Amino acid sequence: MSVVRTILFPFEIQGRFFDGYAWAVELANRTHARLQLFTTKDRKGNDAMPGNDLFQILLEAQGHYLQYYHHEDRRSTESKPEPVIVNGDLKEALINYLDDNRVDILIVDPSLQADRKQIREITAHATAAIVLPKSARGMRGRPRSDRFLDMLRRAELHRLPDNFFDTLGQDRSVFNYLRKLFQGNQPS
Amino acid sequence: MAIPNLAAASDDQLVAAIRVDDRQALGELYNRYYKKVFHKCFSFTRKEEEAFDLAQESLMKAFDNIHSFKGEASFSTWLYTITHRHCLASLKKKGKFQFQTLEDNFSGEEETEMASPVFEDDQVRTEQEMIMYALINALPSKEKDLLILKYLQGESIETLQEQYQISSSAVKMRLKRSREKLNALYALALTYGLDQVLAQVELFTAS
Repeated sequence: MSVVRTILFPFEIQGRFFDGYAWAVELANRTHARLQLFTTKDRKGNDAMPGNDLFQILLEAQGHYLQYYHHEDRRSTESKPEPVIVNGDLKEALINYLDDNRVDILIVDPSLQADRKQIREITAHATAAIVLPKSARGMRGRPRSDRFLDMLRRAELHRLPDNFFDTLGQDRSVFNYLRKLFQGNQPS
Repeated sequence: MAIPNLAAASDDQLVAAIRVDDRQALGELYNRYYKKVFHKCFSFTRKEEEAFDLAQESLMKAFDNIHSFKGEASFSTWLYTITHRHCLASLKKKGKFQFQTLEDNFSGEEETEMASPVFEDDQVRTEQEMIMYALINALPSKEKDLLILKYLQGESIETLQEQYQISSSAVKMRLKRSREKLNALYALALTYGLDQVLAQVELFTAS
């Protein structure tokens, strides 16, 4: 019996996290993993960001995914992101969550308010981590099939399981992407 | 060709553009409706997280199947009908209310498609029934009479066949069309409010 991997995507609702979110959804779809969206609200009930707004922003992010990453031949219902909303400071709560729950891959989005040292500290608590590149510059002009792999190529990978690329490699778009890369057709 | 001014484009124009893989059009159409879909789901669940789940699933379902949208109704009606049915099905699955179809009392052969949600809460149930009856009453008299005879008075297909002097398949077809119309109106009433829908129906039936 195969075990479904869990991918965790932490985000700050005020941040520009849509590109990272869309990439995480695409990764979950390609690897048939479960995707959890992790964020925090303050202990006072967070009047500045009522729940409705948070969920509506997540729905808007889903629209971003459909627009920029989704493939017509793949149903977007394959992986339905699940929100995990806890109280407190994001970094602290995230580390606690990583310590207490099984998370196979943590995705660190550049929109998180954290410096290099803090990111290192967070990723040290994860089984495996992918730190997404700061700039998604030029990505929106790229073909959808290449956008995901471009981001992966530019990301920092930490302790990914050996079979990670095997799973991704089952997708023919990887072959097509590499062919273009070796033919020198891809812009950096 | 890409639509030059997405904001000014009609839903139909956006759907046509999406069919030729215009992703900007998809983004525009999605952004026009996702909040409304969320609010509709919230009106069912009264819980934000559950409403988010249902809205997400409804939107995915609709946009995954947008190529099957035939344009017989407006895009918004189609989307709200998907959302409405998805919410009802989900709540039914969770046992939060039972469906009581208006055909449950009959042994008709036709497919059961019209469902009025019957909530556990009597007050809500009364409200839902009130909406359904108000909509039936607003329909053109031919459709209204047929629905009332079949579903409220429990007349058989055979009786209706004799009364209307038409074949049984014609009776079933008329019932099916009337049910579909009523379902669409019901979905709209839950989204926009009963008064607004009744006012629109009155305009159409008067013309």
